[in-house]
Amino acid sequence: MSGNLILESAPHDLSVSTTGKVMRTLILTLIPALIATTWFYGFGTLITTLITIVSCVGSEALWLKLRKRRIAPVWRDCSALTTAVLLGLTLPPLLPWYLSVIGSVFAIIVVKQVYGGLGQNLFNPAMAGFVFLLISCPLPMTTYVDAMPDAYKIITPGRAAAIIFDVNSAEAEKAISQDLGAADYLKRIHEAERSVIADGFTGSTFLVDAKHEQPEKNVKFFAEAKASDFIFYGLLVKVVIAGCFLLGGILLIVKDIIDWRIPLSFLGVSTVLTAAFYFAAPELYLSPWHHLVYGATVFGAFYIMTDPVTAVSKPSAAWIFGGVIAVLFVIIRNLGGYPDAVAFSVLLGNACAPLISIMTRRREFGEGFKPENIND
Amino acid sequence: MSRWDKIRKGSLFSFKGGVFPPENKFTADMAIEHVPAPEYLTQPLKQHSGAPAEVLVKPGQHVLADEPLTSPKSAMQVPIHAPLSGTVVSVAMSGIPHPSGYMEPCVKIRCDVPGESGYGECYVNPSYPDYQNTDRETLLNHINRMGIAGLGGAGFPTDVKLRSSAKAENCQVLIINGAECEPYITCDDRLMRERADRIIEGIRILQYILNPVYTVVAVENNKPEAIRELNRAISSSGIPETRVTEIPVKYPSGAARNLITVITGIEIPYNARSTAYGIVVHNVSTVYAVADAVLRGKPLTHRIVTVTGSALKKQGNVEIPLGYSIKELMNHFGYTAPSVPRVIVGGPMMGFTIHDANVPVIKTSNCIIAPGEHEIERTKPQVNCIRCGRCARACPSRLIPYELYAFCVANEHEAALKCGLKSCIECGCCSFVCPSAIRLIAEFRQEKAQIKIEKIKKDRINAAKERFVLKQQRLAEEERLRAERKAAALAKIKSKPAAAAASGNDAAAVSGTESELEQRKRIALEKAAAIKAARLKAKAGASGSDASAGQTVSSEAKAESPVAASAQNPDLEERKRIALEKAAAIKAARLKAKAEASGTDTSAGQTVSSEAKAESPAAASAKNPDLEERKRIALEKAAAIKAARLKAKAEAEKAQSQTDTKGE
Repeated sequence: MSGNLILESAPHDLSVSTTGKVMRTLILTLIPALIATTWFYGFGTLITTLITIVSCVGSEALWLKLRKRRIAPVWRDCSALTTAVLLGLTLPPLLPWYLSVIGSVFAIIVVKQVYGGLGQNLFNPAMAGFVFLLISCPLPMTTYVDAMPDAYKIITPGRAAAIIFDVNSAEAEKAISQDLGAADYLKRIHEAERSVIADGFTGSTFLVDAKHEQPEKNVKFFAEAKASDFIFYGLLVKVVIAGCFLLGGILLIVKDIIDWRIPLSFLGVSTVLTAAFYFAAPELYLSPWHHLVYGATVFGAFYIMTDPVTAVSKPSAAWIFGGVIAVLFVIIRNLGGYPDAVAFSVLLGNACAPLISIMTRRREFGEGFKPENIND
Repeated sequence: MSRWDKIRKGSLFSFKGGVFPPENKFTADMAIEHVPAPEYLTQPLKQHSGAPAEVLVKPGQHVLADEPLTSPKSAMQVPIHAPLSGTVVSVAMSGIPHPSGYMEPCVKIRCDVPGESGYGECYVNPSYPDYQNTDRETLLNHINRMGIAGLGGAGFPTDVKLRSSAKAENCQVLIINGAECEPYITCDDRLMRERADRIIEGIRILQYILNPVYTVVAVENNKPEAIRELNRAISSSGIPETRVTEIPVKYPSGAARNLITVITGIEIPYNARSTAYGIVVHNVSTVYAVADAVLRGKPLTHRIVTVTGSALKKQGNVEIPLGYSIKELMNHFGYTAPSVPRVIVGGPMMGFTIHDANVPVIKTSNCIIAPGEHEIERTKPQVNCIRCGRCARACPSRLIPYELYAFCVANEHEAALKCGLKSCIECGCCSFVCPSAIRLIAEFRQEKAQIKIEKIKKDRINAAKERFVLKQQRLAEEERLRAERKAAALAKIKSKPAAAAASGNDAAAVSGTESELEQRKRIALEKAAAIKAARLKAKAGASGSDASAGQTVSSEAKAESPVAASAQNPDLEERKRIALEKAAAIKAARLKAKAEASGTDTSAGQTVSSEAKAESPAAASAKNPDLEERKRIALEKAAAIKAARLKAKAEAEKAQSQTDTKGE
């Protein structure tokens, strides 16, 4: 026994958390949102997510192979899987498959692996992939499925796949329109909504439409009209989905997977700023409530900005990081040309992160304490 | 509510960071037991942080129990004592409990067996049962003499810690650390449960030495029985201004600075001493050892060790003599090696694995863990840091470990120091929580060592530079002096002809000022005249026809009576005497040279001097001191040469030993 004991460096006791576990927990907390999305928008999102998963994991494995690295970490740390799920949730549900693949490959190889792989990338891969597609082909990237009752029954997996892979897509679209036009279905929704749905089941998003109203200073009127129009399926669907992300985010905070400071700082600062814009010119800008519910605001706050690699993990810097993104977010949404500003503001925030990290300092233990403090 | 009220009421503060590893205190309910005396005890000379003391014993010497084996000569030296009576087998290098398996000088004792003469006999050390009437300095020296060093883990000499605070006379809060926050370890818990009264006695002694305003015994709330026992002991002893404060379980609450924060809310920076803030922290087992040493004169020869881990058949707490082999101890507890055998000395968070179990238990070893197959998971493969920030949230020193790690890996020493490397207490929280299984602590330790090496290198270079600059300065100074002398000599040579020319050109001025040359000339002339006169006088005296002398004394009379002659002609007499002396001196010198050549020593010199004396007593007596002086100088010179040679030798040895230590 003597002289052949195994040496190990302290601490010998380690907690059981691993990067893979962290990532898997994160993916699990996205399941409610995924179910809600499928419920309200049909199976398009699920199929797109599957496509991104296959292409993200595949491209990461391929790249590691080309770099002559071990491939096991791809499965073990699940980081590519997380990127894929996040990207799948952000892309329009019925996006042509090749765009999803291009976005995934770009996200994994150009944004992540080229920088050195896990932990080395400067930008959030999912958001960078999204922005890449948005800039490259704006039209399909801003065409979303309208929320509709029983969407999971109408946009069935088969129909969604047909549209996504462009195989008999015309027939699938016709079938969807027919189902939507069915008498028993139309009875169930508000009168004002029928005309909208009857136009077609896809279209530009609320935020894009609001943006179009901005030059005529009709934003407030538009928002009010929409609010009355979409009594149930418009606004409520958004609220439910945002609620799902909020729930998942709180779970992540409880599980100590994400830093609570970043979402709090982002949501707080952006609410204050959008409120300032709204009260200054209501006819030009949407209310903080609309900003919070529409678009990827809540999702971004909890799932995108908190990506540890591209965020700042220092406690003091996290506040600044969230605030910086919030300022960029409000400026782009209210004054910029793109309707959904989360992706852009996050990427710009990522670019600022190293600087923020360098410029903030954590108060070291004992700093500011004097011997006479004992008599305080 | 003021801070003092809070401390007195036991309301707690908290510190940022910390982790909650599984406690695994399996041995908490196992009473302190004893093991049979071993055959051999191996005591390393250095069992504390500081320098080893000087060895007092020789192989073959019989020592009694409690007899000091080493003796401290300076501060930071702590002696060791023989735990049991026995015979010193050797004082030699032997393995010590160290992660790198280092060897250090150890005293190996073969313990007496029952029936052997001297078995169980105790050396009597002084004790101070009425310490309250004893000088503090005496008590502090006694604590040092009893070999007490911090038993919590670091092994800092207790007397040094006490002395610095006692000297400053500013102790406000005395905190007795019974937190024992590391998993597995229960030895302090058992001590508090079983020997609370002795701990209270120790606290009284510390209170006498430090005179604190308030004393807090801090115990984590997972030791309810220890808390109950201490409370009972406090109330039964009536010790004033002392309380037991329950602190919540959290690792590392037992780290001195974090404990101070929990109790007082004060954070003491790592670059400051806690005594400067009026707070002193001592471990319970140290306090217990102080009580033993002061009241009973028992040196620190035994300690309580928790022996645990599922590779052992039974587990428990044992009070064992220091120097007991860990291997023997484990065998006593029924060790069977698992497929991945590991032995951890200390807790699972801050302890270290040893390569060879055949090393002794020392003053700072509080726990031996022999983990079984699936106990204490082995290191997972390390993956990339994703900067999740968990390490920062877990760090009790408020550092940003992931940032620090990046600097360490990149060998950015300056940046790492700026990032707070020195404040890292190596508690292991960051490594514990890291989801990427990064060995942060190992990297920090390595970086600290590297910085130390760099510093030593830099110091060495600076010293060499300084030496070089000094040498250059010295050489320049010598050169300058030489040049000055040369210039002065040249000036003198030049000024001579110039002066002569001046005297020739301007006689009046010369005679007026009576230049040196003129004066010397005058003196020479006068001398010549005097000699001539004397010669004439002598001639006149000898022929007896010199009427001008005005003396009636004949030349015969003069010859018969030299005294008269000398009185009559003192100058001549004087010159004769000088000539005689000179001759004697030359003779003596010649003799001396001869004696020196023949290698004879003082006796020869004496002979010479006696001979010289015989030849010319006056001259000899005049010359003798000179000889004596020269002899003395020669002897001194020889001694100086010898001393220089010895010094050079010593220096060479020193340099050798230095390179040895550096080589380590």
